[in-house]
Amino acid sequence: MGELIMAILFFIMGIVYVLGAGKFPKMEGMIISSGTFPRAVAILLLIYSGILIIKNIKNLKVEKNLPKIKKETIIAMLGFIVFYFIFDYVGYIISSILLLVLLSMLLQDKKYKLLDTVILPISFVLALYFIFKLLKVYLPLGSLFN
Amino acid sequence: MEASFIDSLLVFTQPMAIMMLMFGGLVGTLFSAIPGLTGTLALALLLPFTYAFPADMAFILIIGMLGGTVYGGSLTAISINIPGSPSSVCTTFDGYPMFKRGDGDKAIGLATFSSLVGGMFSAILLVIAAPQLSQLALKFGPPEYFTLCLFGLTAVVTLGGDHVKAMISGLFGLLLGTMGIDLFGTTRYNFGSTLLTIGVPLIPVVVGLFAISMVFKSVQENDANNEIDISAAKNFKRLKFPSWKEIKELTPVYLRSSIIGSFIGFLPGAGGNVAAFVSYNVEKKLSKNPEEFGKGSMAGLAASETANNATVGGSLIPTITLGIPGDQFTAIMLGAFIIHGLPVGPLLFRENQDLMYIIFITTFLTNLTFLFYGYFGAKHIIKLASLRKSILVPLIALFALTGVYASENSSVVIGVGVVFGILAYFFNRYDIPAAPAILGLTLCTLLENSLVQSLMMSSGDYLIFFKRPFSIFFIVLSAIFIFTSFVDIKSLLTPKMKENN
Repeated sequence: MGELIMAILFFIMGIVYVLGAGKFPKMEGMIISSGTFPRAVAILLLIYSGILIIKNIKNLKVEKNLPKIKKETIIAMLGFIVFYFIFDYVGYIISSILLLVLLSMLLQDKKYKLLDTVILPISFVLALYFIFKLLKVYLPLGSLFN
Repeated sequence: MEASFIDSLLVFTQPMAIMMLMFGGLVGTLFSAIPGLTGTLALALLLPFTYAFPADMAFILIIGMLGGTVYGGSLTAISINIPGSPSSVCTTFDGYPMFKRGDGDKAIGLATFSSLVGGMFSAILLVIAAPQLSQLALKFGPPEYFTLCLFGLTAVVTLGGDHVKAMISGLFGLLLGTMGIDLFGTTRYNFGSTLLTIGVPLIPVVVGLFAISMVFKSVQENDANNEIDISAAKNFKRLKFPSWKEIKELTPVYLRSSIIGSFIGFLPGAGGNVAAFVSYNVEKKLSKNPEEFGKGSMAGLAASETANNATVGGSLIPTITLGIPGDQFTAIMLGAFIIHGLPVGPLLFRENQDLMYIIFITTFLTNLTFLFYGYFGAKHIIKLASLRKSILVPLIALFALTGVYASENSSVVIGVGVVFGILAYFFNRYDIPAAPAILGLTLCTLLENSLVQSLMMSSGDYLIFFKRPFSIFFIVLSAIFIFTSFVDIKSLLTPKMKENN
């Protein structure tokens, strides 16, 4: 089912690009314009994603033994998304430490090790922050603290 | 030309160049040796940081990494029977039995020496073949560039098992590449975003596809109770190189495996693992004692390790002369050329002689770096295989995100990296290869511009591509690859045909 959704998304992308290609200005006396190349590529994408859609519909009843996406994987993805949204506010150090602590916890079996969960994430982030500072690359401390 | 070569050679007298070389070799060897990490991941993580250095230093780092990315896997393959990288799978067949029977020092010594032989052979081949191929490419005009790019893209589609999915990935990359201002000055597909006006930023896309996605994959496949046991490797102290007599006996194996490895490396789509398997099977067939293969045969181990390292120089030949990468690593390397403002395709070799000499020299030196790390550090590198994922994976995430941010000094690109990381996780889950997407993105501008220029030359006549010999040659090659992908359509009919029967 997941593969079918991916194929449909590619198909939609193809449609968006074909429609978009029609809106670009035509060049006077030119056989080729801004829309020609993306339109051709998008049509090919429509054909190939169409093939994948048909393949998946035909094989829908055939169970694929894909393991379920774990709760931990989804939490990790959400962690990265939250990292992106809080980065400008709380800055590099806090957002990175939070993400690293989260990832470390997701990779352990409930008996959390102090070293892996707290000490190393904080040390890694601070070390990288100061190495970058030495190289004159200033990682942001966040608008909350300015 | 000679002066230019000497200038390039003198670059290596700078401490910075040696530091880059040694650092690249270390990172490549470590990422290859530790199961779960790969050379491609190492390059994706370091790519944003190379941006801060001049092109010559950046490519000493990247090419310096290349030898180690193939060699390192052999250390864990031999000592704990877990290949650190796919190209070392074959090495476990004879390397591990040798290690188990107490010949660990000899096995790792033989693997190191064989990797050196394969690497050096392919470096010599690179120096001989690349300028010849580049001379040929001098005759190319826009129609040849267009058909060559087309061939490169269709050929790399074979990187993935499923041609339809690989083709979708390549087309997806091409469409991403059309974002931003084009040759006519039109702003295309920026969807209202200022960032996308100048096109899709390459670094966050590469880091997302190859590094951030790896974090999600590691969490998904994590088994906290299943840590790698390296206790069996504890007795290993230092490697022991083969004797002159053994080297003499293995010379035909070295020669055959080097040729096979270099040739397979040259082919788009096939990498170190294919080279090792082909070479291993050839030696097994030719051997007077085929029954020893799989039980600790020196010839088997030498064949695998020589062939996989021989792919290094082989894969660089089409990458630097034509812009067609031999594998995933070189596909990302094309991105590194673009980041440094260099052209991809035949112009790269023609217009950047100094850099090409530096790449040649580094291809030789990368073999010496892994020799150094193998000799002095093999014991410690093997120990790192047991590093807990709860330490390793967060560190990779940190490097990936820091690199992405630093590439543009903007948090917006972090969002791009995260989106592509999540997307690549699903690519991976449904066996859609990411490498064609990167190639599509990097080759898109050259492909479209050469199409426009060709049609301007011919006043709009598409037949121009069928009127020039090299252009026809590339079209025929592309057609062969496209045909093989369409053959896959047969599988659509198969279930129905079975039902009817």
